[in-house]
Amino acid sequence: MKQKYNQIALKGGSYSLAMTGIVLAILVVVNIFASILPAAMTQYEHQLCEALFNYKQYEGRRKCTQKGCDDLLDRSG
Amino acid sequence: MIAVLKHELSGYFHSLTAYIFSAFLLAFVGIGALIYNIQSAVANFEYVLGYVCLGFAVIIPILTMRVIAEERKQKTDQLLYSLPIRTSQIVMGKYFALLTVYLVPLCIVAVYPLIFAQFGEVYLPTSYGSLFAFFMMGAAMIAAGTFISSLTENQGFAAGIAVPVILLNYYSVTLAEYVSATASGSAAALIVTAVLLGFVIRHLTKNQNLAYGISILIMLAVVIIYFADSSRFEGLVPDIMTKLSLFERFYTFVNGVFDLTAIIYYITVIIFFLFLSVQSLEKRRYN
Repeated sequence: MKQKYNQIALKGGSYSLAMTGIVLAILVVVNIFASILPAAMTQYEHQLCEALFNYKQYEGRRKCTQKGCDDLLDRSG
Repeated sequence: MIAVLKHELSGYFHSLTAYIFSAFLLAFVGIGALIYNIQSAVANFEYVLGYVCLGFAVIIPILTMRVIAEERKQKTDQLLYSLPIRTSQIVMGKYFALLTVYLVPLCIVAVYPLIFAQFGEVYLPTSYGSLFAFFMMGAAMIAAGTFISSLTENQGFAAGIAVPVILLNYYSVTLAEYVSATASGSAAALIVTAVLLGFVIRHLTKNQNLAYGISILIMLAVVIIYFADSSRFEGLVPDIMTKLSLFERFYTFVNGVFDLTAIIYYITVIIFFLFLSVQSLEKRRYN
């Protein structure tokens, strides 16, 4: 009885281990592939866009100050 | 799966679990927003999310500790196994219920950048990019918590394991600086890992010969590669600890970079831990 139980545990455990190993290998390969891709494809740098956004805001305010548009200054704070 | 999802959501929102979780998360984010955005007058909402990260060590175990452990304790998992649905559907239903509970307070937090934008110049793509990464990081930790909950029938034990696991992951980059970066140190760490793997295999298969065999094979492979080219092991363990950190990848979003590889990593962590949860339940179901 104990031997049969051990055989069932061995079959089930081996299947579980094998499946876990296969899934882990696939996931590791996917991550390695993703890290190999060039940064231009996987990374989008907000800071540059944020700097451009802030510069455009600054330019807008500077032009308003020169031309005199108080209501726009009030809205932008 | 929908029936399991509805049942779980009903359980969370008819008990205090969802409300306590939401209260903690909103409290952490609120305090962070007060410190960074209001007192310090910093427009970057993503800094708040970086500050709140450590709170996951408390709130994720609270959310996930009872998801499967309680079922096992009450013996209601037998009812689940008798349903004409696959184990993976049970796990997915429970996981999506947890994600929904996690998403509710995040929807409230998502309004904060819009409120701050009324009083200053908030660059919304960075804020919402970081919020999306915050959600994915939390989803990955919830998947890990679900797996930990499936290992035991004691909720406290499940929470007690989940807290140090999350803390270890949080401090893994700092700890990596103290771990030996030498080739021999990394080889020793891999041999210890092979021994631990042997114990796991022995527990799963109840077969000592298989466990010893696989452990010895891995140890032999490590020793052979070490003597063939030891430079492969230099800095290996600190490198692995840094790469496995969920939080380190999140900080790239806080620094203003939307990194797709980090999102892919979070998704793979989710898939891996949900797969392990299914395996854990299947082992119990068919034994």
